[in-house]
Amino acid sequence: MKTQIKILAVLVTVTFNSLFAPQAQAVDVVTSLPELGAIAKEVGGGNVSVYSIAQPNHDYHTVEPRASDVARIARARLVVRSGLGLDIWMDSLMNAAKNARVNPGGDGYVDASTGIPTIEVPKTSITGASGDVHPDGNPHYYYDPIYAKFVARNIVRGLIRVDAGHAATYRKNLEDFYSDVDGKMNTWQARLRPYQGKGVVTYHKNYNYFLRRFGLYQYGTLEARPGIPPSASHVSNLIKSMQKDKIRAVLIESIYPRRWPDFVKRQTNIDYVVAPVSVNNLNQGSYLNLIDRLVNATAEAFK
Amino acid sequence: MSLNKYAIGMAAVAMQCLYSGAAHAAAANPEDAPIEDAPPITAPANVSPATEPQVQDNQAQNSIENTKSPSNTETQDNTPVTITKSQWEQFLARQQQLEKELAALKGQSTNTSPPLPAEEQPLDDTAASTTRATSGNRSLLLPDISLVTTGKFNGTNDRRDGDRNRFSLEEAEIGIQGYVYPNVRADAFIVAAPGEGEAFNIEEGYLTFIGLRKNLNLVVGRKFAPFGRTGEQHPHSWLYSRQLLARQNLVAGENLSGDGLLVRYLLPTGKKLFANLDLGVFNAAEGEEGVISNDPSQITNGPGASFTNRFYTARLWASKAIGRNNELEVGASWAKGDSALHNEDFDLGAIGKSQVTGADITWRRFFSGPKRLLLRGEYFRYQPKGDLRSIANSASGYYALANYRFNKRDDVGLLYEKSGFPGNNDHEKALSLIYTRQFTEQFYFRLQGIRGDRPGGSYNQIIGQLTWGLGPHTHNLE
Repeated sequence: MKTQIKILAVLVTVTFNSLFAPQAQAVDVVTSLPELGAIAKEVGGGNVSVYSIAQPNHDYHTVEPRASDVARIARARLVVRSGLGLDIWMDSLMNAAKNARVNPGGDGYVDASTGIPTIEVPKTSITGASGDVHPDGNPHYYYDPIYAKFVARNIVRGLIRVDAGHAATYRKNLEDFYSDVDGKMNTWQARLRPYQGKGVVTYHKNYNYFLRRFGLYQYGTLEARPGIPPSASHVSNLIKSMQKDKIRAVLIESIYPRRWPDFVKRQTNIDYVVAPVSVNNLNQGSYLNLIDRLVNATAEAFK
Repeated sequence: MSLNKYAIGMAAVAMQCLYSGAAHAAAANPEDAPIEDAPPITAPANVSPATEPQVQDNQAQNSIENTKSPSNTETQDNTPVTITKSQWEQFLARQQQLEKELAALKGQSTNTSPPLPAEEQPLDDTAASTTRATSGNRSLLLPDISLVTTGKFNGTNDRRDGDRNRFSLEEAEIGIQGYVYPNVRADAFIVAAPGEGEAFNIEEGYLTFIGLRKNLNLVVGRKFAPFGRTGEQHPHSWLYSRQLLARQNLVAGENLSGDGLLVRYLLPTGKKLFANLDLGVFNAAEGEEGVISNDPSQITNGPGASFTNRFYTARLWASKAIGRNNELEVGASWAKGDSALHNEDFDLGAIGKSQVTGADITWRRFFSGPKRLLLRGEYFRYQPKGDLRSIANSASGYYALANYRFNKRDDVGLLYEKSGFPGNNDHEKALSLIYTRQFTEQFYFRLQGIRGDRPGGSYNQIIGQLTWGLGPHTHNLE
């Protein structure tokens, strides 16, 4: 009888606890790009549920909006956008979502580019002839691990606005993320130090922030202009310049076709290396893994 | 005794549960300890070589700004200098005087508030905009202004087609868009259609109140009514070069359009299912009576719903992602309103009401990279009401579209259409093969080859379409 009472008491306690304990509900975070999602996951930890509108390994300039994404944004507590005109396809989704809290000015809106010193800001007027030039500068800052810390900080500010109860956790996660990046920076810099000052050819201007961070520079792109497909004359001129300046590293983003990189390879005997453009998933550590892969690909391109 | 222990334990747990929320609320304001605002840079950006190769014309714009190297800073001279105390005091007095003057010049005063903690400052982008706007750069006050133009060549052996074998600038659309107030957006689309003899026409001009209430948007003004899957699309957004036969014959030449009010409500279906209900009341923008004919040889297209005055619309649109790579959409539409028709064979007119209904389904499959397959089917039905039944009959139509984008810039489509006419029991059908080359987001070329069969004979048609745009141009989710 005594044992039965004990069991009954335990059951009642557990039931009571499950019924009345405050439910730990994860903050719904929607990001435009998977890289921002991966960073949000790092600093949000178990307190956030992260969803990225763009999927990994897609061209972020041309994402086809999906109506089902509207439901995600409508219920989101925090929306993180890349800013700098890269994810303008988010506008129609945001308008359709009817969620004023996550629109610009709302407490649930984060522009991840806030505070980042942009490069390649046009100094003259831009037209269609300039290609897909972003008026606010190159938007691919998220490949720079130091600027990823800016992104993490912006996201944490947003998280604290919408979920103040876990502010201490978010701050701790942010410090951890800073430490992880700083720790990795030494390894990455050591890996690329032998190539400092050297130029790299890419397909699009995706890696300019990344290259700059590690003392490299973008020599040229296969695209004649940003977003404009390569042309025979442009690539021929590029090859001549590469041969003249002894450029040996060609880094091709995985999302682009291989026709022109193959042409360059045939003409120059320089084998290109396919470089990652996306995190594989949004789980912890995946952003650092992306930079790991990018650093390795870059080093490989110089061999 | 044991029971008492558990009772006490339960009470403790209950108290903990009940008050844990209060404890959270009473926690110190986390913004009291703002995140340090200094850029979290620990590794300085390295500087590119000063001589980057001139591969591209705009290479100069892309060069990375040089930062001053610490080694370039001037060497400090620490040699001591001896001066008298009076000279020292004069220097101090002079320094204080200069500091005061500097403060006055900067408009600072002694009661200047200390800077706000980082968390309380406005978002950086907002602050930047304000600073620039007040510095006299009026261009920042401009809304998004754009122009989208479409030219077409229509080659056909159908002699009833008035645009047969002609190239024409079909439409030029000027878009003016922007926010007029927080969460209040204004959109205006002014259209010039030389082919239709129109100088300029305000095709759409409306305000959208975003998030007026939870899940609720309100739209006021002139607008394409949300009827059917493509009911709000402008022609430059279509996946084909001419209006779908069933929409043209049974709904409207381009789209149902009117001045009125539209309520858009996002149904509370959770974050994995999108379901949106649109309810609208409009006064027809053009309000012209429709023309029908019983003579098959005269039929080129049907009159559509021919709303002449007030009409009402409803549309339910739902979408669900199936896995990460599939999207299934379904929709149902309804519209009913005042209508007028004229039978030109017998010079008979009638006024009444007409009703159109529609159902649509779309499936999209996203493959690796930019590859995407879209399959869509849509059905329409037209029903005359009241006196209209004396000269018109019910009619229906449908289409099935497959579109495959095989790389970032190219897609092909196959379109089958069949439609009846409200004026008689005839039908027309067509099969199209479509190819689109997208040079940029706002510049594309399209070729649509059509084999059609309409009352009076079959025909072959080829449409070459060139669409180009300038400036930022956005539409609602389509």
